[in-house]
Amino acid sequence: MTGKPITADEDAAAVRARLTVLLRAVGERRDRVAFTEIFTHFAPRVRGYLGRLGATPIEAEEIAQDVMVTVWRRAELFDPAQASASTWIFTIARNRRIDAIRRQRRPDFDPNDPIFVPDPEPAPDAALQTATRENRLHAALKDLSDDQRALLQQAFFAGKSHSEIAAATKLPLGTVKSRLRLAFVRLRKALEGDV
Amino acid sequence: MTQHHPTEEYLLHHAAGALPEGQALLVAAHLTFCPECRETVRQAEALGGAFLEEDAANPVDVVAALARFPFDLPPEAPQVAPAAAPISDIPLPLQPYMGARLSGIRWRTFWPGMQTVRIHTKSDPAADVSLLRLASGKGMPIHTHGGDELTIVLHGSYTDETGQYSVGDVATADPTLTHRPIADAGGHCVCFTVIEAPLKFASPWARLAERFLFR
Ligand SMILES: [Zn+2]
Repeated sequence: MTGKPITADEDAAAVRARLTVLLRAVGERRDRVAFTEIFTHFAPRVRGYLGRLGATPIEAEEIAQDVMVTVWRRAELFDPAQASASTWIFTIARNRRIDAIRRQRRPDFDPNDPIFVPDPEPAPDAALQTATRENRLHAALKDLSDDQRALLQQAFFAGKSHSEIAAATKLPLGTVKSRLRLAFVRLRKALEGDV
Repeated sequence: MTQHHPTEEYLLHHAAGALPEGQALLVAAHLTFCPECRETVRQAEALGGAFLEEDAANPVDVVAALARFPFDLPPEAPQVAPAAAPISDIPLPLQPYMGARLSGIRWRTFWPGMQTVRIHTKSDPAADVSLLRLASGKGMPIHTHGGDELTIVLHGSYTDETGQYSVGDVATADPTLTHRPIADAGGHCVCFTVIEAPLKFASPWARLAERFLFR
């Protein structure tokens, strides 16, 4: 591996690995220095996400602070076998936003439900697999055309319905649906290591 | 193992946090039964994480925010399973709306062999969300929809033109579909249903019944 130039993707993968280690440090020993770095990295991003979904600057700041407090208090529950640091924090931001809008919890399944049907047994190296998968996802996302990325971002990040996107882009609804479907299929293949 | 799943669009919007409450409840109920769809939701969440990471930085006064950060707040205890899980046949996400047991539900007869009860969602009281109970071998009147109809089976099973649906299965009916679900032999069937717009019944008697009983 020596002498191989470091690509931008490898840099990003290293940052991702580091954020996972830092978040684990917060969860395991309430490491404030590690949390400061997590906060510096994610607070602006969470705020940007909330702003994109229509929160006012004051709301975005309040909810973002609430998200980061939740990260601090629940870091113990972060499991690198399930998700990367950014995915875990994304789900917290998503849930907190719904809590704030509806003043109630986002409906979700509960693994403690007596009628819950469990996942098949996770692989012993699940954490490594999750990291590899997410790195592949980032690479696949970079390979999409700007148009495809923009559509995906509208649908899955900004939470716009297909008809809202069709209205905003002046594309026929069927075109929006089929383009999104194609883009997501490509990303899924990358996540499943099937490229 | 469930055989019929919500469309990918519903799963992705659930992951994005963009579903209205009734539909989010139905998808959450399905995810209780379906490891396959939970995996799709996890993948969509990873996509959300990737976009979060890429989002052009939005300036935050980190020093000031950290200076007033409540580091002293204690960790939130991880959730633990209740010591003795109460017997229930309703998925946990639905229980705040209808209790833990189907036997505790107070039905209203809508049509011979068919009973219903309306579910009130908190964020959107006008949303058309209900439970249906079909007696064994009985069906709903033939109907079409003004909008998408999502149904999940909570007890028993039914069959219509598109196949057989058992506990955990989800049917998505779009406005072009005219269908007649009939509960299978051997027991009644209970479904949780979310409709984007009211049903249109083909029979005038059903329309009359709807006017007096359904709302
Ligand atoms: Zn499923």
